[in-house]
Amino acid sequence: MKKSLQLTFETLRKSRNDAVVPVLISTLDRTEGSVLEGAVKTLISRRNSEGHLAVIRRWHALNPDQRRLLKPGRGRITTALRDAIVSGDPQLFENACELIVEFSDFDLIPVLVTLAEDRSSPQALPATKLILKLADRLRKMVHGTRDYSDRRDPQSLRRFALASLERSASHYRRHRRSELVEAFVILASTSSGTLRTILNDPHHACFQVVIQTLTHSESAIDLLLSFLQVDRTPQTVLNAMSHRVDAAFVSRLLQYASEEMTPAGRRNLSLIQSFSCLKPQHLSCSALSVVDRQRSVALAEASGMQSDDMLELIETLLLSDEVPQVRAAACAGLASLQSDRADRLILQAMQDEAPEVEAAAALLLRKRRITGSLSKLVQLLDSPHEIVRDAARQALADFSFRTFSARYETLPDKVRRGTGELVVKIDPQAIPELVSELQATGYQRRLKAIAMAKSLKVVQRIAQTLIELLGDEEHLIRAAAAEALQECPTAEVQLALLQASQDHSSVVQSAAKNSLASMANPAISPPADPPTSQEVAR
Amino acid sequence: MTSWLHTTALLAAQHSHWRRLGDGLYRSKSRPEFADFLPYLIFAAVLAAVIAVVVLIIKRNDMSESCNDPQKLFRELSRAHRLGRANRRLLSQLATARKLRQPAEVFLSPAAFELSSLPPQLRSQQPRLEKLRERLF
Repeated sequence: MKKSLQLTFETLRKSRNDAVVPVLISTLDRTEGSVLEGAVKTLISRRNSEGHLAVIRRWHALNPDQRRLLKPGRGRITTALRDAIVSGDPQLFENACELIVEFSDFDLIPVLVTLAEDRSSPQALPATKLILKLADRLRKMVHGTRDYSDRRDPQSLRRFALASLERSASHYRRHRRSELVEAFVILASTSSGTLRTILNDPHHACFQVVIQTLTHSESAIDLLLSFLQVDRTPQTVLNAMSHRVDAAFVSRLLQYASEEMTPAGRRNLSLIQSFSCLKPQHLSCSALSVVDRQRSVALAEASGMQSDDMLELIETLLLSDEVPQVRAAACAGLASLQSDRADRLILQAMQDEAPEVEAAAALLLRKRRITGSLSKLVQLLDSPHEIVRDAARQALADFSFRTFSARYETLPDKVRRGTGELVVKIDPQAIPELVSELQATGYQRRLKAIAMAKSLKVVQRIAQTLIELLGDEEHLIRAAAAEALQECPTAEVQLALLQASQDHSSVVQSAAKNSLASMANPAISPPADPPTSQEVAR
Repeated sequence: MTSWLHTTALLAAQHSHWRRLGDGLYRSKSRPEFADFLPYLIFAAVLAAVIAVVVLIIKRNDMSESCNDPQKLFRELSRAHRLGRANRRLLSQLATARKLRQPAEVFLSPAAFELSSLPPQLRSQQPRLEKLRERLF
């Protein structure tokens, strides 16, 4: 736009002469391009509803760029929009509706409600649809992240809109516009007295509409989930939740159930004894995402479902779901269920081709009194799948080095050797902890560690530490180390033992020589135990 | 001293004439007439007219006052564009010739300056109008 034309519009914008408006309005019809755009912009910037109305009247004829010029008029042209709505002019009404949506002008909801309630008005139906659209948009503003570039407070807007919608709900018998009640439910909060009154009175005129909305409307999901988190939730709301099967609601509910819940949330969920969405026919893979199907077991656990229903759900997922993660999650859900059927399902899961499922079952196996579960877990320690081996180790966590060490003295030698092998397999910390014991300050602990090394059959793996012990200050430790090293016939060990055979202690010399002899002739069996205290004394 | 006493005695002797002393004065001036005040009235009227004209001029050019005056809007726009008296008159003539509802509309109507469709009475002003068009649009 040229500077001179800009100057004209700037003068017209600032002028306090009301004759500006007719001049600009006549320009709207006569010109195009930059003059038209300037006229639109100037009319919108002036606080004159006549000018605003003229622009609204031509809204449908404006191109997208020209329409964008109206954006700064949000809030300023509300009066003109109100006039346009009640004008009775179909084109003007249509234009105003589009602008109300464009500007999210929630201030006009009361006017639209009045229009929608008038069944004789030809604009009643479009007004009703517009109210629903606005209510849904306002709901998103209220429940979503606040956009601070929009200076309007969503809660204040909601209160303002709710006042007229509540009034309309109380007149439902007269207008019979279910959409108005739906809009009310969409915007209502859990603390709404009117809503609770309706929900607690099945004979209320709006009761059926409210229940229908809660059961079917996607826009009511936020309200339902809010009800889940408060005390004294009406049973009708919980029933509506239990009947919903739409993916949008179920997904949100499953997410809620899988996260940390409030005490009220746990209590409300436990009051729901069945969920239609968890019935086998609704658990088809196409309806819910993999994550949602995984979460379904958590929802079932949190709810008041009977164990048989829960087993049915788990069985459906475990035996029919194509995704291993879902089957694994279902298997994990068996942890809280103690029955023969649950045990059977665990054993079935052990046969699953997916290692994730096998691992999930392995974790449960140890705590069940299922015959052969220990040997099965021991077998799983050699599984080709890391996840299964880990699960088996976790299930056999009792067989840790610390437990073994604590009970070592009480175990018979045969059990020591059998258990020792398991401990090394199960506890990845066994060797490091054994080495740590071999390096302990107390000589009794070092002595016991050397004995445990033989029981664990790991002498070869800790040979270096044992060689270092040949130089220990305690001759009893040196002798025990020399004796233990006979199980490791390497050149390095032999050299160390040769040196030890020159030890100033005769006990150490004897042990080293015996070990060397044993290495040279494996048929000679070495003494099984380290020297006794009597030998040391001698 | 003696002459003073003499004079006083004379005046006292004519005491009866003193009562009529001011009569001559009143009788010398007639009653005030309209003509006596006419110059003053004319002066006051001229002064009022001057003040009224000044106020009118000030008001006419005061664009900060709220109003609904198409002529004033035309003047406001003319002043914003620093148009001279001749140009203003020409624009006003153009607005009239183009039958625009308000003279100010001419500032937003480039089509009004279309030389091919100029009314006969303005054809002679073609070069000036062309310049004005260049200036305004």
